[in-house]
Amino acid sequence: MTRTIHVAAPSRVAALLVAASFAATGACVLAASSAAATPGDPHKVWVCKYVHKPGEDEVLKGGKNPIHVDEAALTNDRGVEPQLGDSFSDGQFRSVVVSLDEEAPTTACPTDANGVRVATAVETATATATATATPTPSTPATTAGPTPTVDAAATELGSPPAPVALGAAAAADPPATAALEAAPALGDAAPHTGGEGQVAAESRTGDVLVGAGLIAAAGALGGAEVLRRRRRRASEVD
Amino acid sequence: MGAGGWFLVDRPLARAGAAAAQEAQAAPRAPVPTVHGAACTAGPPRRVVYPALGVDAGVERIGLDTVHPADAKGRRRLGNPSDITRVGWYADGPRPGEGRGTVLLDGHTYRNGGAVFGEDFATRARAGQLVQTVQPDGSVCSYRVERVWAAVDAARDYPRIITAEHLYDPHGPERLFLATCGGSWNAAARNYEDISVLVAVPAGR
Repeated sequence: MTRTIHVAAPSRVAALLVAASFAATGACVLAASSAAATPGDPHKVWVCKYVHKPGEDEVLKGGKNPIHVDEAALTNDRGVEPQLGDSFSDGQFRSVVVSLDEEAPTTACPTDANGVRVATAVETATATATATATPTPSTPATTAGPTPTVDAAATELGSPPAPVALGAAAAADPPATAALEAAPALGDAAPHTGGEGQVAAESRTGDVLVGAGLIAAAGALGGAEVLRRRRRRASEVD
Repeated sequence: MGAGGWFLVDRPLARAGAAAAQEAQAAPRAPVPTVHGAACTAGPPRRVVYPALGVDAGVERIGLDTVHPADAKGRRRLGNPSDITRVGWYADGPRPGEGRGTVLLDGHTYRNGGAVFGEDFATRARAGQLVQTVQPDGSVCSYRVERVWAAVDAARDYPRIITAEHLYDPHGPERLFLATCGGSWNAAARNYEDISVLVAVPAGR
């Protein structure tokens, strides 16, 4: 009997250690998963972010755009529900809310390309604020056009009158030339065109399952240990 | 506890998901037909078609990458499209059909296969293949792939190639440049360490 107790003690310790390890692991995995799997933040909105001189030389920020920002970063009154067109508190005239959805908008942010302005419905609504940034004063019809999509703007650019408009804009408006001469600012570092995709998101479900499984395994080990103790006590009583 | 740390750091489940995604992506994208249209007219591209790689995607205007820091000379790297299913066109650079300069295009490659380019870009892109841009007026600008740098080191080799080959040249002969990530995967950074680049020259013009 005594010998049995001596042999069981290390295994009991090992079992408890393993159970604790499983439990801790499961808890960590669950915690990490729940943190990562938090659904879209309802207090965030999508903003097209512009840079450079506010109101004068605003150009679309490179890289990821629109950006997902907290409502608190808008200039509207606190406590008021954000709306499309609300200004982002970066001082730029053109940085405005373009979507309130959780998912990123699929429409590209409006940009200035080759001196021809591309406007969105949101910008149309805030046309007063953005008028100074319009680089095509000689072709107001371009900005007044009702179609805000990139494709529509591309049509304007590529249609036969476009070269004339571009030429006129370039001749009359220095910013158009500046846009064409922006190429030297292009560095030779590789663009970031890779990513993992939804792999991490897909694994969250697996993480949760494994976490739950580990905790269950820990519970089973603990239960087995309790049963073993009871049997031992019972055998000792006998 | 060690097991827990291993799980959290290495995230084998994420890798398992990646493997599953790769399996899903393993089937190569079927080629798409070449596009036919009027002779190329200069303008911003609306679609990019890479028939041999099964790519037919819309275009997103891109600029410089302002997310990452500028280099020592204050220059910024080429931006990338926010929509991973589109091809990015550097709108401050030359336009297809303009007759001069390098038209700069790039696009994403995602491990789950959800982006415009697949991980097989490096192995399927070949000299002689056709890359086309569909212009706003429906005309088509065709380019013949002249050279491919497949899965080169993005940090070390890419800048050298760009500089040596003048791939960002806005004033030289008209060319089309297309880049996307791929090759070695850095699990820690969750991104590729390599990038593939091709250069194409006008065809049929």
